[in-house]
Amino acid sequence: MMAVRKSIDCVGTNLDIYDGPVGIMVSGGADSAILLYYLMKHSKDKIHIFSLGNNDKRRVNISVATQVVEKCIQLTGNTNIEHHINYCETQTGDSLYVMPKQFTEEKRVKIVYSGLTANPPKEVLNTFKLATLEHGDRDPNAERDVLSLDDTKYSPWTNIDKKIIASMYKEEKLLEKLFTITRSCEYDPTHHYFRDDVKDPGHGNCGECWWCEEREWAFPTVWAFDHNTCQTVPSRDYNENS
Amino acid sequence: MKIVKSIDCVGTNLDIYDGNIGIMLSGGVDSAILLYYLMKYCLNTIHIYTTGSNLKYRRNSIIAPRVVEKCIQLTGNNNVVHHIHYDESATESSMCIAPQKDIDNSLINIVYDGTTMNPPHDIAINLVATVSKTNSDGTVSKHTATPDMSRSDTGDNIMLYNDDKFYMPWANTNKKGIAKMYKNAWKWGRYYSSIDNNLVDSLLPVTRSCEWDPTCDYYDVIGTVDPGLEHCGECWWCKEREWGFK
Repeated sequence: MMAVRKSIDCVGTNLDIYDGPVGIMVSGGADSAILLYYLMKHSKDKIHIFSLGNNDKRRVNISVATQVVEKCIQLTGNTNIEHHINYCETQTGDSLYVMPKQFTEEKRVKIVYSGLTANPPKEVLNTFKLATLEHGDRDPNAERDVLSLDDTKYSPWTNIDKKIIASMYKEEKLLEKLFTITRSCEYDPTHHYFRDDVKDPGHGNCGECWWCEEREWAFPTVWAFDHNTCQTVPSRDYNENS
Repeated sequence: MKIVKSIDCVGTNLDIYDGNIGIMLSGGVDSAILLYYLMKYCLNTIHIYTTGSNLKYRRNSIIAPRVVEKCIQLTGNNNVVHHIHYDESATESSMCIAPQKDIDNSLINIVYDGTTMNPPHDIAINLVATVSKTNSDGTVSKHTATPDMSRSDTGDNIMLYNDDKFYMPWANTNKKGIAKMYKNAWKWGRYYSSIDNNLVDSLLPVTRSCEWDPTCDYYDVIGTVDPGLEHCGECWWCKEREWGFK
């Protein structure tokens, strides 16, 4: 059994800090970014960060992920990290885990953290314009084990949704410093829905995809979408200290 | 080690070695064009190593992924893995640690290093001035910011080091030679056919050669402000770039 060095209370959600070296998958989205922040803040051991850029989505998340890493260094002062970026044609659940799996098999990391969250409640999902393909391992009504793959993968957020993630950002006062540079958008230029009707957001958020809607649902008091820049910006009535 | 092909890079030879290879990428013009050539001609996985220097605010760890992205766009090759490490000052020896480890573990066969030859000595030593500053105690101190000038400018630098596991194909080419590659890659040799390979407009703007150093008094004395991710225009490396590409 892996040794837990300490446990952190993240606004009511438990986060175990395992003995390292550890790995973490960072997409550049809000969920993995706050997990990286906590890990860099509390882990004393080497952290291997894994990001995957896929050609279908023009590898946009890579530049976002590198900026998230840089911001977490600035916020925590921890540079005992290595960031490994690889690329593929189309991202799947399997391709995401290729490099982390290799590192665990080679014993270069003891466990890999994943920031995957649960979906919003069904009544909320029904209001979204697009259906999600992620019902399986994100079902909000199912209770999942945080450890999987022979205890080599740890998903501390697997039973909480993005509203809880938003409360973590608020608690840590990271809404402006970290959240605003994250990108949850999954705009897909090869999908007819986006190609025909949605402005290409570049490195910003399209504001139309399922993941943007989830983000807007979770961060309504701070999330504002600037249609000119396609960036997430704090809304006018937002006050981080309130 | 087996060389699978040799490329004529606008007059400079570049050997492509067999198997998985590594390259040290700073985000500057020299390593960027080397990465471009490797991604164009190498069929195996390329491991890219970048070291972010805390002293210089790790700016190259933001620039280097942009260079990788541009090279993917230009070559269509995404068989690369980019490893970014962090270090207090990113010295020449500390930058070799990660690729050396992967050589020792047989993950890669050789590491490419984009270091170039200095400009001719009389030009190199005058790229930045030596400036004087009167200190609060009345003494006068002199400040400058130049790199290691011990490297030959006559074209006799060694190209292989660390048991021949590190290869510097540009060791006897200076920035003017690198500039020729950017300007003429598309029309040099029978493999280049696309106007898209005019790298002055595509790859060059993404690179950053600046070595502005917040801990060096020279920049305070001459009044240089923090350039962020841009070029300060005052450091030796900015001046060398300007000399090479003018």
